[in-house]
Amino acid sequence: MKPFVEKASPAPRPGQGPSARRGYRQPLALAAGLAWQWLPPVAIIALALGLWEALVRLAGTPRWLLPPPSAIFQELVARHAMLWQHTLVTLTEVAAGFAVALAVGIGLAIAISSAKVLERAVYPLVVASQTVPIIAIAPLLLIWVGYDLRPKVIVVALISFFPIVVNMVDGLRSVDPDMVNLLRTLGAGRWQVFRKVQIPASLPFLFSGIKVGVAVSVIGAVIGEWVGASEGLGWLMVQSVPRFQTALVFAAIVILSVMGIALFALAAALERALLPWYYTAKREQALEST
Amino acid sequence: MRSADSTARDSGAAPRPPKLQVERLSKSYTMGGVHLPVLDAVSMAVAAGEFVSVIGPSGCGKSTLLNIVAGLEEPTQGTVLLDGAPANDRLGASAYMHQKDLLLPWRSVLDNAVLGLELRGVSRREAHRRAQALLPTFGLAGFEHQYPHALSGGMRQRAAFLRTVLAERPLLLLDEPFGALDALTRAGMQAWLLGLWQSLSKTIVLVTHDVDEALLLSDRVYVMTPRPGQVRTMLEVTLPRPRAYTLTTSHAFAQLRAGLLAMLWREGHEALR
Ligand SMILES: Nc1ncnc2c1ncn2[C@@H]1O[C@H](COP(=O)(O)OP(=O)(O)OP(=O)(O)O)[C@@H](O)[C@H]1O
Ligand SMILES: [Mg+2]
Repeated sequence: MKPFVEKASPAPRPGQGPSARRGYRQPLALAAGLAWQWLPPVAIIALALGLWEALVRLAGTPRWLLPPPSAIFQELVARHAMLWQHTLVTLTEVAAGFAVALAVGIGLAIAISSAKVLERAVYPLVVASQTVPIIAIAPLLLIWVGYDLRPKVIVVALISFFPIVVNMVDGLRSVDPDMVNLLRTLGAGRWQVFRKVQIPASLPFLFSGIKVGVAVSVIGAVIGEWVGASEGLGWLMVQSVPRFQTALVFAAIVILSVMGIALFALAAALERALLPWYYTAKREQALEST
Repeated sequence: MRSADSTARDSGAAPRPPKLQVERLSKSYTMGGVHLPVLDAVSMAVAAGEFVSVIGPSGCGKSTLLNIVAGLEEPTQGTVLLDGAPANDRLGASAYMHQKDLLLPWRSVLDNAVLGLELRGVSRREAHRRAQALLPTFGLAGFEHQYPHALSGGMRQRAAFLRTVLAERPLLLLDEPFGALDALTRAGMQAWLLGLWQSLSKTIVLVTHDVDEALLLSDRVYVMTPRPGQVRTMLEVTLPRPRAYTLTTSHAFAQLRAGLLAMLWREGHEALR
């Protein structure tokens, strides 16, 4: 057997693939890339904060009405122990609720895509569940399950399972039927087709759902705490408003949004680590189109 | 030359049954009450070790024929025989290469290649060993850890073909394996397959639109009519083996090509009538 010879293209060694040629592996280029990515948003935020600080000071706005960023920062530093405690409570609710959403969401998506009957029975209900205002259900949950962690977990799960189900169903449907047939001709059974084709093909979609879901899950926890709680950042906000502790309200908001961003970044990092094939394919496409 | 005749006509003790035989195979689809006959009483036989091409106009049911032989679909009428026995449970009995490369984008070239072995429960190490041994032959050495999206069209096609060969089936069904490639790459791939097949000792059924491809590679060519597809003629390619790509410029080749084109053009005219 003669080896196949093509217009001599040398085999890439590790670290010399197409991405390396574009300079991604070199530390300097990497740093420049990161700076290019992060500089614009950081600059805009810094500018906005500076403007805010200056305007509040110039106009002499009272602190209970609108505290300057510096006062919010002082509040974050001075009361960090108490804030951290409430952060942990809210984070626990988010984590528990999201775990439930993930399990239920993936389970429902698999059920929906596995049989037409189930699709027709379950999918409309999933959609309908999102038309019911969660904020209206939350008080009912207090009556039904009590004041502890559980109603918050349920609210978080209710709000974040939807993007997971919808995206995962799309992912499972996106599978090329010819690919399924290929596996069958290679002797694969239903379970093997599911494990080796349908699940991997749907993972990028699942991660899209996870990124949306994780971002809204923080909102769910805050709603749950507003309706009835004795701790957590949402509860802290409700407590602080009648006392005109406006800076503390802002401090809670800052922590909540940092939490949302961090969770989103975590999901994105996980996606990169677990789906290198998808990540590189996407990047190549993006580079080609520029 | 490995041809059907040597096995079928040599009056030995017990003649070996053909590797693949389809008998009066018909297939029709019904969609929304509309009846669409696609294959009409197609019969063909392929001896073990033979290279047979099926050529015909687009839509005449060539892919449908391979789908049925592979066991992905059932015929409306007729039978498929493998090694002389009716093969009702034939899914997985042959290795099928689709018109599209169908490489799994989340698997490296190597892991795509070993898919068939993996599904049969061959250990990962052993599967990789067998694949590694074939990588240079398939022009994929050094690319085994790349994802498919990083490969050229020709390489993707060779990776898909490696996966087909590594299914380790005696019968290969190839559906326009080079159809999506540019003319230059395609010619290179044809020359390569020509050399490769002579050492593979496989039975191959190749579906193609390309007259040169069919003549260069095959022992025999089945010419099909427009839909509903029937076997119009069978052409013996009387070119000696081993063959080389330079054969395409020979006089004998030109004559065969003229004959085959004439048959195909007749089909074309009939389709227009
Ligand atoms: N599952 C199906 N349902 C309905 N019609 C089908 C189905 N599969 C194929 N057909 C029809 O059968 C006919 C033959 O299709 P087939 O793919 O076998 O043609 P082909 O000869 O392979 O064409 P090409 O050379 O373009 O690949 C086409 O008209 C197609 O629309
Ligand atoms: Mg076809």
